[in-house]
Amino acid sequence: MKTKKIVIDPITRIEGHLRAEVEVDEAGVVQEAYVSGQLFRGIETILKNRDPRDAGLMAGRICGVCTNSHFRGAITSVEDAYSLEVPKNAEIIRDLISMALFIQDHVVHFYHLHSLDFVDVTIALESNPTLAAKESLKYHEKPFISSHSDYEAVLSKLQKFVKAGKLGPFSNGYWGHNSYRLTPEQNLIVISHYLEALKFQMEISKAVAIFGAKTPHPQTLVVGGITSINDMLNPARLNDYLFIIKEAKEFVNRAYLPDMKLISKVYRDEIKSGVGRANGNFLSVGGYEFDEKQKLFGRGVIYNHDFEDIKEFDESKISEEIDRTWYNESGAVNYTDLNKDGTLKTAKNSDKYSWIKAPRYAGNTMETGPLARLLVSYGSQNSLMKPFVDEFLKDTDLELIDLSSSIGRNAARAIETSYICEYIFKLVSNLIQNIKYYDMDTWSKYVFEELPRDTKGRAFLEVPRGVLSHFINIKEAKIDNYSVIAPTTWNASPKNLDGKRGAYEEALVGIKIDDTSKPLEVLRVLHSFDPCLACAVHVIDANGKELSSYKIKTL
Amino acid sequence: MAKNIIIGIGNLLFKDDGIGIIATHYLRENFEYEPSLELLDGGTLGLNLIEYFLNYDNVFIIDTISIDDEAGSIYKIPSNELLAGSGYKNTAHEVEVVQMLETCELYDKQANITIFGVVPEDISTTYVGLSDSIYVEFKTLIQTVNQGVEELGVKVRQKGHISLENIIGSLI
Repeated sequence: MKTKKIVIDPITRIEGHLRAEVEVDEAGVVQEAYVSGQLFRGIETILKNRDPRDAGLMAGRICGVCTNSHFRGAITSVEDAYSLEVPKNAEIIRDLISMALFIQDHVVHFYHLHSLDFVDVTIALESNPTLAAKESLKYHEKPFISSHSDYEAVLSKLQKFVKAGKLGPFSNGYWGHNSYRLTPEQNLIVISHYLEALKFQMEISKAVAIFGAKTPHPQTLVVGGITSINDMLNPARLNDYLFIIKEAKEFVNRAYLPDMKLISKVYRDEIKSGVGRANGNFLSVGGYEFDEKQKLFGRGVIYNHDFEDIKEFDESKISEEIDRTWYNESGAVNYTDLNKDGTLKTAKNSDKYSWIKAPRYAGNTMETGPLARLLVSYGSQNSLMKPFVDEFLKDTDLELIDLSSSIGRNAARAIETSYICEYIFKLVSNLIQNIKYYDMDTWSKYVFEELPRDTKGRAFLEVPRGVLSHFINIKEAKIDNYSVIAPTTWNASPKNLDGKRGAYEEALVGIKIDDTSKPLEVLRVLHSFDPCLACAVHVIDANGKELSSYKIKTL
Repeated sequence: MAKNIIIGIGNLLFKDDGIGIIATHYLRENFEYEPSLELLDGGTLGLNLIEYFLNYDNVFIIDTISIDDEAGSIYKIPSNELLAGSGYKNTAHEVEVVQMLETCELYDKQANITIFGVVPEDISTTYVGLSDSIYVEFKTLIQTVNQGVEELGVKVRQKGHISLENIIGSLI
């Protein structure tokens, strides 16, 4: 059979160093896929020989989007190494920062990094605002934007842009692609929310900053606890936080979740046929204490879509392999280059093609992220999450298995956001309860010089994109060895000699690409995982522009 | 009174990509501004940039820029020049700052945004610090930014003499 190779690079709209190559047959169906991380990170080397107490601030620099996740991951692994108990208040404050980030990340992911794979701005131009207002009522009884005059305003704004020859952020897109299926009015609804979401994300980052001091790169976490004690004890600050979350909840429940229902309805056939489904292995490490009995997310492992049988998570089953990555056995860089035409070397099943290492759980590739959390929590009878999932499935007439698809993955993310918006208030009241009983501890005292000089620790956290693990080895009171397995490392894992595809690769195999010069279908699958390989450099791209007159001569 | 801010953008861990961050810290430690202005270590801010673009009068961005020119070359570019000609693109491209400038066009009011771009030599080595070619141009960058600040009617006064080496040392 003749196959043709399509290269897609870069994939992400903002953070990006991900490349995908898919081989399609004559009908455009993907036969094999190779996903490659194109950037060597080497974050671990920079931590070597540092004071373990500094690991958090340095690790927080790994990425501007996930800064808090890595910051917390590093600090938690150091606390684990020294067996330090973190006071309850500090744990709650850390959770409040994390939860606000979940909400922000998910909303930004859907609207600003992914929605334009479903929404065609040019089609929205033909919409009727009155009909759009009517259409929006199908997905929520009190839609976030309900009046036709609001829709008119958005429409005229869009028209003004196009007239001026500007599409602004909408200039990236395969407009006119025939897999854009939303009606003009449906397009207008989602674009209106896109614009609202920009304001939303500005507000929510203020919530992060209340306890994180600043964003990005919060600084209030320290080994043993937190430093934002005055914010914790100040009712006005707590109130500010609650106010922002309350507003966020309105947007999530009346815009984001309804939009997912809308897209689930329009693309029902794709969901039902499992477009974008990976191998059905899911991993969640759970966490976020709700009360003494329950956590927000369940912990466990699912194999092969067997949702009834949640296996216990056992960290000793995690391995990280390098057969087909640009490293050698000792972990040193072993870059073997690309083919002459610039494509990945993949012809032999020992060819190396990625900087991303290949994590395995008991030898298997796993999917991690909101979908994994949802399925593991649901399967382990998490009574907090269950009603949120059931309601979505009922409203969209879908089954649990349907969520294991590209669009289902997005739905899981939206359901999770709504769920967090509901229960975050409980976390705040836990904090207030604690303080009321005069427990104001935010830091566990320790004398660094008295701590063991040689030790090791690790942290497993659920962060917006999935399971994050940090591992630290300390020798002579300095960091000897550090390693990170980020969520995208699991999902974007390359093959090993075992030939097993990672979640991205598996999800791509079998999809049909309509026009191989415009592989929108590939982007849709990959974006559904919320890829982040940032950890990266961000250079302003001015190539192709004549800017010599702006050059500064030596003063 | 005008709201002014200088934002350093970049990833501190990747050598020259940290130039914006390092410059911001250098300015904070060594200069005083009257009336005062904000200095932000923006790191890899991404979408959060928009908040500053919309809520300030003047925004200076210090970042690396990809232009076919010698490493260490410094450009002072009004933001609209980065937008000119960026019409329909077929692929998604990672252009944080430019993408955010585009997004700002959706709003009626936005800051005057000026980019101070430095052509980097090495943004792939994991190292906190700068290449020699950037190092030698650092003073020029600082002078250029401060001159821009003065053009806004803000007085610049040197308050300290902490060396670039010490600034970098304090960050790592």
